[in-house]
Amino acid sequence: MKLWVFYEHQGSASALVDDLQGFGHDIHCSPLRAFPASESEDLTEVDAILLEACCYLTYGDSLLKRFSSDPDSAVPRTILLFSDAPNPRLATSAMLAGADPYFHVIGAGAALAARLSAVGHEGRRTRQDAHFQETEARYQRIFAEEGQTATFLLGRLVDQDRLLDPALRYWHHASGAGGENLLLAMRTPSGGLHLLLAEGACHSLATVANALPLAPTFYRMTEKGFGLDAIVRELNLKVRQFFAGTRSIPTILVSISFREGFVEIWNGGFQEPLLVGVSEGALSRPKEIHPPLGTLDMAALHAGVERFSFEHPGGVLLYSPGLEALLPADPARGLHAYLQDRFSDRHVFSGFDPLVAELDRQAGHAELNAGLSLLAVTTDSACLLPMGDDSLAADSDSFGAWAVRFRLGPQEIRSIDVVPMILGLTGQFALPPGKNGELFVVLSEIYNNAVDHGLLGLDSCLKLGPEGMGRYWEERSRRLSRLGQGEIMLHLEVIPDISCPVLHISCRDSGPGFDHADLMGADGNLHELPYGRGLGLVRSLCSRVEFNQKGNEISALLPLPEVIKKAA
Amino acid sequence: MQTSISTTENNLVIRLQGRFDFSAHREFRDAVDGALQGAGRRKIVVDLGGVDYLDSSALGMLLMLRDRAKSSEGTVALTNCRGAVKQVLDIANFGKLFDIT
Repeated sequence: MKLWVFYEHQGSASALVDDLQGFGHDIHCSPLRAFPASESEDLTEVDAILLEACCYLTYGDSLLKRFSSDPDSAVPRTILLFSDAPNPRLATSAMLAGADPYFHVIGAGAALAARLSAVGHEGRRTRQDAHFQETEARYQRIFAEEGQTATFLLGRLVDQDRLLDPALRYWHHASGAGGENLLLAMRTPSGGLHLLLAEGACHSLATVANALPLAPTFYRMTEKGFGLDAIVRELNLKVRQFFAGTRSIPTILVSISFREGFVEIWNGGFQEPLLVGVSEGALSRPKEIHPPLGTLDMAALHAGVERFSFEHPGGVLLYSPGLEALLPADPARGLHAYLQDRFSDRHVFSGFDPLVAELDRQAGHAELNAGLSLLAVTTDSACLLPMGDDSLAADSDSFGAWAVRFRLGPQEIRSIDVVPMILGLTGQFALPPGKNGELFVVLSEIYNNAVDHGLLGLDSCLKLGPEGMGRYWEERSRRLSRLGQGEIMLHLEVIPDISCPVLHISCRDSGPGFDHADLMGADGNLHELPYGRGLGLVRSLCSRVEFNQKGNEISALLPLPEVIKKAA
Repeated sequence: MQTSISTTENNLVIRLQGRFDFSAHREFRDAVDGALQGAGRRKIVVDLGGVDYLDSSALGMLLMLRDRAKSSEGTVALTNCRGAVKQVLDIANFGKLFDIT
């Protein structure tokens, strides 16, 4: 230890130094009459001050103020009094003022050494504590910065506005280390709703890592009208590529069709969802649980979904593992049974709010190692949103190898042979042989329907009868020549960077739309249909066909063979 | 679309070339009128070997031809169906209504 002795009597100082001989301390001595000068001496890292007791009354306060609570040091300095005789009154005063309670009487060297040893231990412990606190403060700062970074990145990856969907309510609680589950929501072109809930990591940045391969793909494919099975395949591939097979992500995906009243579910290692208001039948409860995303290679992956019909208003409840720690569920029956009892005769939203209130109360006291989530989705058809004009504008950031977009007004529609023009253009982009014929059929049907029924208001019934085609053609020509306003927007885009590349074709007209439900329901015997064969052909050639709710926009996905993917 | 008509002892052949869609309905109608006048009870064969593309309007026109031929006790067959043309005819189950080769 480094010791500094302040004295008035040289002899006392010398006797004190004798007492400390052999204990290995670094001892410095200064006469107190030179005390102001000692201000310039190097008194840093002094472990203890030994002050001759008779000087305490004169210099004690100054020394105590300066050394016992040095503002530059987290370690209080120790001041011990020494004298050749005991002085309890002086010792008490000094102790009350902050000096060490040990009063050294010269000659008791061993006792002084023991006391100094204790002071040394205490000093070392205090310094250690200070070091730990500083280290912890540094880690807290790093943790806070990581949390801010994670929040920023998640804000870029997750579209929070989509979570405000009226069909959805959710509750999240992050873990102690900031990790939380990932929830994504997006409407399909036809007004359905896709949801993804993935287990987050316990740490915030690890949560972001999970989101990176999932979020962009989920949003992009839902926007383009892909079904859950295609999305699952693509997500599995992305997770395996991103993490090189070292991580898998428990994930559940849900698709709600409000118009047709069914729910599709793909469960990859997540908790079994609760279906509320399910139609009677064999599949009233989801049975399939697949391995988490990223576990299986593509050949082994089963991406097929389970489908359930609903009586309105029905709903789906999704929840993450660990929720049972906050709820009074009977361990013997499990959380699923507990939730089933709570929602058995209630709308999924009316049961949700009190449950969340209870979770909030419990989560405030609990130390959570993982993020918790609870989601309620209703299948109420009132949640079928009107489609806005952003269904085509939403894809302004093209992801495909190429994309073309046309806006055609009356003049263009009259004078341009649109379908061959587009075929000529797409021919420049080297579609595989044979695809041109399919593209012709799809484009022709889609475009001509938009013109004939969307803008010109023609009824297909006109085609019936021996002279029907002629009548229809004449009426079409007459109305087209008189068409003063209206427009058609056509968009074609190759999407190559997914496991099954497609050509996305969409067409929107400015007409009033139509009720396409009956036409979409027809399948099988096209040769028996009086009209509407065109849509049947499109559905047969394309992997997915959807109308928007209004019926004035159609979106179709024409599969492209592997040769396009490799070329891209 | 271009059309031509030829006859054999047993068949009357309507040969089509180009794009067979709604824009071709007048040419097809004229060809059909001409064919039915001379067909009698011969089989009418529509040769689609020269057709690049075909859509649902063409399917409707073929059905119209079949109905008109039927009314005079004739039959209709489709021949030289390849590629996208055959694909569309298969999807539409036209094999149930026509002899397709």
